[in-house]
Amino acid sequence: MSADQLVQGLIGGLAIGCIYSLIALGITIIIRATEILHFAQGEIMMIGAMAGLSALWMVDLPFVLVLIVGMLGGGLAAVLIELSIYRTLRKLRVPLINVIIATLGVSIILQNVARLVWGSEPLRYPPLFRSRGVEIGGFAVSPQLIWIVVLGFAMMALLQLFFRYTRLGIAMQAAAQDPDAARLMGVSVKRTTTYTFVVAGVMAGAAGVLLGSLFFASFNMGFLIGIKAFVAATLGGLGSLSGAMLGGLAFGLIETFSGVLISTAYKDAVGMVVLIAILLLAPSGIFIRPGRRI
Amino acid sequence: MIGLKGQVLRAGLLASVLMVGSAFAASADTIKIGVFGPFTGDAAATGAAEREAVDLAIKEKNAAGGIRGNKIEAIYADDAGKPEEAVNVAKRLTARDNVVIMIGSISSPASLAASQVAAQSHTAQIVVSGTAQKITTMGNKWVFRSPVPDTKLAGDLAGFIHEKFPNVKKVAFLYVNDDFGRGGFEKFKEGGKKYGIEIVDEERYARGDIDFTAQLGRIKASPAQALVEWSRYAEGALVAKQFVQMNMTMPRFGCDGVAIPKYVELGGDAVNGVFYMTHYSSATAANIPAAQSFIAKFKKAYSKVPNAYHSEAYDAITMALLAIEKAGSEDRSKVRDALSKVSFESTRGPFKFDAKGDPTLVTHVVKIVNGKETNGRDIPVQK
Repeated sequence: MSADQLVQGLIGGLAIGCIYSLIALGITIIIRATEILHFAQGEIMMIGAMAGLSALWMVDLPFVLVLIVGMLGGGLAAVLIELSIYRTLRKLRVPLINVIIATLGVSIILQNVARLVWGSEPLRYPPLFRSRGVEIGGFAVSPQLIWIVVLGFAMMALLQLFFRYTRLGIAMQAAAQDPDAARLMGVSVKRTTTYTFVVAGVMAGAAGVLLGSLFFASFNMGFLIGIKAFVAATLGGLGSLSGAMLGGLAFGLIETFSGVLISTAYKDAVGMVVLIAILLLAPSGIFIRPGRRI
Repeated sequence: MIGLKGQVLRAGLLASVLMVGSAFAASADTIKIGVFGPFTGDAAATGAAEREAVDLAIKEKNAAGGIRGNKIEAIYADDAGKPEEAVNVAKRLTARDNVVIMIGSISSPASLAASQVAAQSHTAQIVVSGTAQKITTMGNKWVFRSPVPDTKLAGDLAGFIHEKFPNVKKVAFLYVNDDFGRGGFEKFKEGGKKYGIEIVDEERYARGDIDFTAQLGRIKASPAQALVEWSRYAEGALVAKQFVQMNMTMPRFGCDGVAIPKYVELGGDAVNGVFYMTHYSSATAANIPAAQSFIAKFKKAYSKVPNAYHSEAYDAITMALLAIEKAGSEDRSKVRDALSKVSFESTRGPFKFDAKGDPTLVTHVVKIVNGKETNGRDIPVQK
């Protein structure tokens, strides 16, 4: 491996890892709050990407605004689904496994709705950054990838601050850890659950815009990425915030470097083999001590 | 009692209606052509192109009086791009709809699967854009195709590199890890040998991948002087973008999988300078009179410019109509024999089949300059 490959792999792996992390965070906070494995998280990301793109078609927006529209789109989609489907299912006291299967259904429905609205062809995201690499210390570095890493980290930092220092964030944490105690303290668990979906949707929406700007948008862009984010969340120990973040970054790097070092043909397979190995050796993920949450 | 009576009566009525229906269909004075392809699913856009081109040619023919006074009717069937569906629709077209000849499908796997039905039912099949060589080398005399096969494409690409880039002897080959990509790789390796072109780095990726930095990093670190790529347009556009992001500058050569406008649209500036092999392009069609008249007709009907799928499908339906005309009857095997001998001016140049059922066309090469296709064969020899 040359030094150039090392630098490229690091930046590329971190950038795609940030995107996995943002989606994995959503999966994680939903699991903590509701014990639902949200299989439609990748599709929420796709809706975020499409929302940002549609806004960009209507008016020429700067990138930050596109990102915000994408986040709003993802948040809105998530909350609509929560209110209309998951909450109703919970009210009907449907077994958890059925709700999880419903999330699979939602994922397929969202894909097909997106295909109807935005068509089956991949859609070009206008270049939000200059595409030619800049030379830094003799290495060609893509400004786009750097931006994704920066924005991804900023978003994750904001989420940490939100959970640590805002009343709503603390209430959401409390409701997720011990719903009964939280209820006794006057927290509306129903409401914090809905907010959890909003936050997860916003994160996924941001990931969608970042991913779209890096590659392009298509109705099925969320499927594989969603599964990989799931792996990332598992890698970090399902239910752990910092675990989901590190899991995403680690998975991005593992994937990229297994391509560089082993073989690009089996990049996906190597990533999954790593996952299974980690599950066998450290069943609760590599970034979490057994038995501890958060 | 009444219930049973009613049921018997209803069944009898239904049966008689069905019989009348089929008798009516058989006596109608139309010549039926089966047209199948992916009208839904991921590749729906290519199926839509097939349909537009076939519609155009049939309308034209019917306006001119049809064949032997009979109107031509296309029976469309959706295979969703899936081989198993292609078999089903081909069976339906040949058995129930009694078509004289079939056109379809778009992709190689679907076309290959349907070709078994063509052989069993003794119906000629014209593949619209499947390039896998094995479609025509399985000893099936009923299958023909509109595009040149991948063997010829890859061989012609090696020839083009040898002719215009005589110094390029070491290339990296990046391809999608499925039949399409592997086929291209094998054929190019073979074709390159003749000109002393060696593949020094072989890189693969899975269909639907979006990140190619690992592959491109290895190519950049290899001694390759040029990149040859066997991708479809979505992955191809991403490869082009990441190639530029990594400040790579070697000449790039692609295949027919990227030869559609969406590639340039998705790739933007990053695809400038790419050469690719194509079956048809408005840029290379400038000297082909049949292409010029086709473009004019097509623009008038649909107010847009035809792409390669349109052109291949238009040639396919044109030769099907010619064969039915020449055969002098609607007998399937007579039509097949007439088809094997067709010779006409296609939108891609003078068209003839070889013994396998592959066309003997010259492959076109395009170079992208400022987001536009130009004739790649016009460039001077690169030192």
